[in-house]
Amino acid sequence: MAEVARTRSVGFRATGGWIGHFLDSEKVFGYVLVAPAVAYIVLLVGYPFAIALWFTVSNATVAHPIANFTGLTNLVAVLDDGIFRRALINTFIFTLTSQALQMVLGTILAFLLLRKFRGRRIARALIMIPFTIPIAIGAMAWTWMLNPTYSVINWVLVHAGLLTQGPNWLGEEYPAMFSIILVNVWRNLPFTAIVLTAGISAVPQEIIEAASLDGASWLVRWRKVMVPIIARVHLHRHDRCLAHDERQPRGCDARHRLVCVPDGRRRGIARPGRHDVALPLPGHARGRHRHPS
Amino acid sequence: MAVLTQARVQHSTAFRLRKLRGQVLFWFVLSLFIIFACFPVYWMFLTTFKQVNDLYNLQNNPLLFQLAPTLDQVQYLFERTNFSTWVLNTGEVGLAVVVITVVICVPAAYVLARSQFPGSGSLGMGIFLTYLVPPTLLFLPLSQLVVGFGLVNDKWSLALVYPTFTIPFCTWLLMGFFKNVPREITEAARVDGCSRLGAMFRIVLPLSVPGILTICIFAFTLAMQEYVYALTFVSSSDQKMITLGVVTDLIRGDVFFWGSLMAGALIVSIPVAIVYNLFMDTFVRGITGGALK
Repeated sequence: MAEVARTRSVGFRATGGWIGHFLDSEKVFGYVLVAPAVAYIVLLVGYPFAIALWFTVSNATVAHPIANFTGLTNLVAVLDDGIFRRALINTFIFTLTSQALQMVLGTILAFLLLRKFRGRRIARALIMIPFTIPIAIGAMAWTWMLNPTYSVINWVLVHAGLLTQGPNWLGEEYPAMFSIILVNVWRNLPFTAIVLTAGISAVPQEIIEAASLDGASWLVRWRKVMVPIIARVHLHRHDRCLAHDERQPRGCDARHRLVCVPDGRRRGIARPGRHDVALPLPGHARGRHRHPS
Repeated sequence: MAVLTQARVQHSTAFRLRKLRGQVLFWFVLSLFIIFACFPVYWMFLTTFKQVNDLYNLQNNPLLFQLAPTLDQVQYLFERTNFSTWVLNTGEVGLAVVVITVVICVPAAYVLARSQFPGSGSLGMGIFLTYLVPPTLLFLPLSQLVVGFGLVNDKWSLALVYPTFTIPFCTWLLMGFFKNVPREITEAARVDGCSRLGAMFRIVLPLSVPGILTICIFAFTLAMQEYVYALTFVSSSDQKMITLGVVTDLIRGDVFFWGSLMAGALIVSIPVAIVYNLFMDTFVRGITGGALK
């Protein structure tokens, strides 16, 4: 014990003297190291954000930034504006459609990319391209592809015999909405697929095996086993910030078991010792696939 | 006996047929995705190197070169526009953003991922949430701040505001890497007399070099891709970054210089695409960082 204490005090001197000593309190260390980030964010996000909120309830203009409180006048004015309401509805249509398409296509793409095939890395690199191109640049390329006169998309559609004359993509109501959804899906699909790939490959193989031995069909395996685990990967960034529960034993808590296979059937599984993988899962996924014993 | 063998052969043919059909379907769907992802880039490439007579001739098949390829558009880009200045500006501002981001993010992510102190959870969450505040909300108040700093129409204003989104993003990504370094290693170092700061600099940071390199790359490319702030804070051509320059300076009134526009787009996109693909695996490891361990 005394030996440890001596080594430690020598260690302080060896690693930065009083600064090291001062920072040795976990609290002080934490606050000092996180301070620059907090300061930057408060000054350049927090403060502007507060100003933006103040602008919504004041009559500030670019020429007269010093303004009076006007209550909800601005909000009422905006909600009275037909164009704004239309824009709001458009935003909902755009976001919902685009996200739904991304999730469906992204899942298909993720499963394709998870297969082992020759040229997989090249295929993945090609698929990733839209995500790597700066948004403004990608948008310009699509503006050019959807040009009313020189649209290559229309050329292809007409020459494939699908249309006699292509629409003016960006100049008509429905084609315009379709076009921006298409471009948004093009841009974000690779990212969705890559994140889903990571999520799917994080599902332990043992669990899938156990579920299929228990007679779960492909659809059930996907909905009841994989989706909850993938959702957990996606939500992980939150719990990484929120919960410091790393040290809590997760071991053999029955609550955390996903698939409880009766003892008799364990012998049939490749690695019998390992399929009690302990996973804290969202409530509805827990223990649904218990084998009727 | 003979019947049995025959049955087995038939089964095997049917099996092989089914497998073949699966293969064909797989490659067909995958190629559809790849064409969707890459066609705009192919179109950029064609537009860049086509002669003007070929590009604007509606009788020609737009998917192929009808006349010999030319470098005229690229030449125009380098000789008649500020393209090389934009590249230089992007390098300078991008580097400044990377330095600010790394200096602020590394310590913050380190303590948020590995230390417990009052409020660490909510601080981590708060920093992550700022990433969700859209630039379209902040650019008006931020422009006042930019005026306050005396950086109107100056590329360095961008170096000041870009960390507002690179810091939250990179902190969140880095936390994943830091969490993956086993706690036992630092504990051992602490017992051996290393201070907290010493453990960070001597043990964890050297182990996290790939992660730190990844956030450098992402900070740079995020800065390079940004559009809203660049458009708001910078107006003279010699202060523009590459993305803004290509998209704004090559459109004069109603005239789009499509050839040079796409040449610029291609030159911006290719290096970013290559770098992104090189770092994709590390990036994915960062987002899913230890999700299911």
